[in-house]
Amino acid sequence: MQKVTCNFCTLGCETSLNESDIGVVDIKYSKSGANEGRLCSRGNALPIYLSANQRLTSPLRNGQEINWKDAFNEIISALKNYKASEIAITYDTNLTIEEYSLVSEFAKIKGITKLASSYIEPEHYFNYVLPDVKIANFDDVKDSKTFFIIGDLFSQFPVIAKAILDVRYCSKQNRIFVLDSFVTSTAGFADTFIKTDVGKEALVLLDMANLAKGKTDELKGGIEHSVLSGVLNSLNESEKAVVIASNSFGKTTDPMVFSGMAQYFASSLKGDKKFLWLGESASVPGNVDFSDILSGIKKKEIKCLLNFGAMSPVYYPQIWDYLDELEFMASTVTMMPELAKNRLSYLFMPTTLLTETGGTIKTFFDGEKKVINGVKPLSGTKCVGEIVYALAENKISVVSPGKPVIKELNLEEVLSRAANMVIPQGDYILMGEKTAYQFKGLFSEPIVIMNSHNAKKLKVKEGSVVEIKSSVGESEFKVNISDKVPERVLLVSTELPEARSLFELNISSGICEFPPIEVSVCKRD
Amino acid sequence: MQKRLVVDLDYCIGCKSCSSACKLTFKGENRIVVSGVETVAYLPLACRHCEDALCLRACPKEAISKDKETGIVSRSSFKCVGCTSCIYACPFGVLDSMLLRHIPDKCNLCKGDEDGPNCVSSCPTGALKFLTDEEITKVQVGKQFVSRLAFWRRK
Ligand code: SF4
Ligand code: SF4
Ligand code: SF4
Ligand code: SF4
Repeated sequence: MQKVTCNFCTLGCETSLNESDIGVVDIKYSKSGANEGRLCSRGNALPIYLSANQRLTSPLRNGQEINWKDAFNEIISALKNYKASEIAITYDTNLTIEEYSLVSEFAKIKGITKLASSYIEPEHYFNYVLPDVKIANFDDVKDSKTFFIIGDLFSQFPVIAKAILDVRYCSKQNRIFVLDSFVTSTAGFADTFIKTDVGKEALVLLDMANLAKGKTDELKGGIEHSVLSGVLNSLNESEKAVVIASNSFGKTTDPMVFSGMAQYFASSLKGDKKFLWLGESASVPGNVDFSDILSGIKKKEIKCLLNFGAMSPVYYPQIWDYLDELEFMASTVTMMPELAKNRLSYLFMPTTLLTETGGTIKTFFDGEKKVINGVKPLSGTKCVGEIVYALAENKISVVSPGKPVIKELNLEEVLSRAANMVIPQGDYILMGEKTAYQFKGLFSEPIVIMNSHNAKKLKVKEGSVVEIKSSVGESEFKVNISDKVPERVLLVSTELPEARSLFELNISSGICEFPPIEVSVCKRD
Repeated sequence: MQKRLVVDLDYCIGCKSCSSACKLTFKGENRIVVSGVETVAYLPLACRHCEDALCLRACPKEAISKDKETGIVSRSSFKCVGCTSCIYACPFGVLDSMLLRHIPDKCNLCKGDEDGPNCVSSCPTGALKFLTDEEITKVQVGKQFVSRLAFWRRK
């Protein structure tokens, strides 16, 4: 039995795995860590993920296996062909703090200034913080009396729910408020559920911040004054409260505005009030945004890209068009999506998962924490640290992990973006939700949730199959009818690759995002 | 002593972690299904291991038996002919498609594993519990839920 830290989200839950000669077999639910060995569905998938047969075990060039020595030599000589300004480095979330420092150091030595996080989940934008926001930790959650939750926190991060429900049930005065455009399972536990129109969460938050600051201009979010001020008073009167936000891929028109408004609202509350965001992974913003890298590639200013991490950006087919313009790309990956294997002619290096690497990560439960890496790295893989050393031809000194840069959010800019936010129109809008249970499609098949009105219009029943077409792709889904989703909305789980690939990548606003989109849908027989 | 699976409705958030834990234990289909009562409550449905199990009575091939000591109702995949009688007999509908797909065994409370059932160990909120009859009488499993229900009905 091997103890490990789950690496699927920032919570850092602990569990144990049974290992045999052939690798990880299954989970042994040992009562360890702040999660007491309890896991969400995602965490339950650790053994299948670690031993998945899509995991790459040898470097791959143009789909052909090559050895590590050749791979390194090829990258080293490729780097010599380009000016530092033509090279960019990206990284995603599967890096430890030590590895992140090493990658930054490597960039510095090579004179490469374009360093960006290629992690483009919307929650990434919570890493951009407003100056006067106080960030909460797990102790704050347990000591708190009142919670204002934005999004479907319980389905996305079930392991947090117990602490919140414990507080709620311990006194009649304690409250849970939920803001969302769908009726979610989190909403089912709310004392007051503020149901907004699709895409208007950020505007409601802005209204609440304005009310808190005593500004009573016209309300833009469409929620009645009495409801908002009731919630606001309750929050202000509460001895200790936390505003908690989570954000789903394909759900928010502008994730930067969403993040900004949630923080703006939290910082406008009176007394001991804190803000907390929960995301699957905490990646640090780089010197530039990933959208700058992508537009640099399109303009042929960037010709060579090195990516370190688990799998982005190859994970998003929407990005392949950009990547195809590159002259050279090398990337570490843990799993190789079948589709990418046939399409992308780059150099891939198999890397380890955090549970195999060890090192320090930032976790919600314990702050900075040493990952417990009880399981052996899959044979053939190398960790990012080792790879960076090799690419630097060992001419890199051990760097002490520096504090990752956190970017400051410009309130003025976010406010003006909020004012110009466009909510998608059209007969059918595709939106995304993320629930731990749908992790990579391991536990559930692709479903689309629509309300009974839309089902009638499309002449479909529970279980019928529909085809959804967007400007970037098409996929089939089984219909699930529920009036929890508003009219016009087709709700899919963006944990599933089939659904994820339907969303359009938008970089026009200077950030990378996947907003809700207009789609067409038809019944399949 | 016989222990039972108990769900605390105040804490079940419908996350289905129990289902995925069960599914992975059996490397097949899960034996616990989380059913939603709209968004007001979630009800993970697993075999109750009934005192007087109707599935057992309905089975023409004596494929289903009840262990006297642990109370676990299990099904022998060798004896089962897939007639589906038990599926119709179970008043809780927990057998559903499992037998039809010829998956060996139903919920067997994880065969009396000393650490308790996996669905219980995995449940992030502690909503699923594994208790003796005596313990069950002492815990509250849905007091808050009752008041929440009224609140949602009003809306
Ligand atoms: S909450 Fe996060 S860390 Fe915990 S089990 Fe789930 S994915 Fe893993
Ligand atoms: S794991 Fe627990 S909280 Fe989640 S659905 Fe099952 S019983 Fe409910
Ligand atoms: S299958 Fe149904 S009838 Fe049989 S023991 Fe379980 S709950 Fe009772
Ligand atoms: S006790 Fe074991 S077999 Fe039964 S539902 Fe729970 S995990 Fe599945």
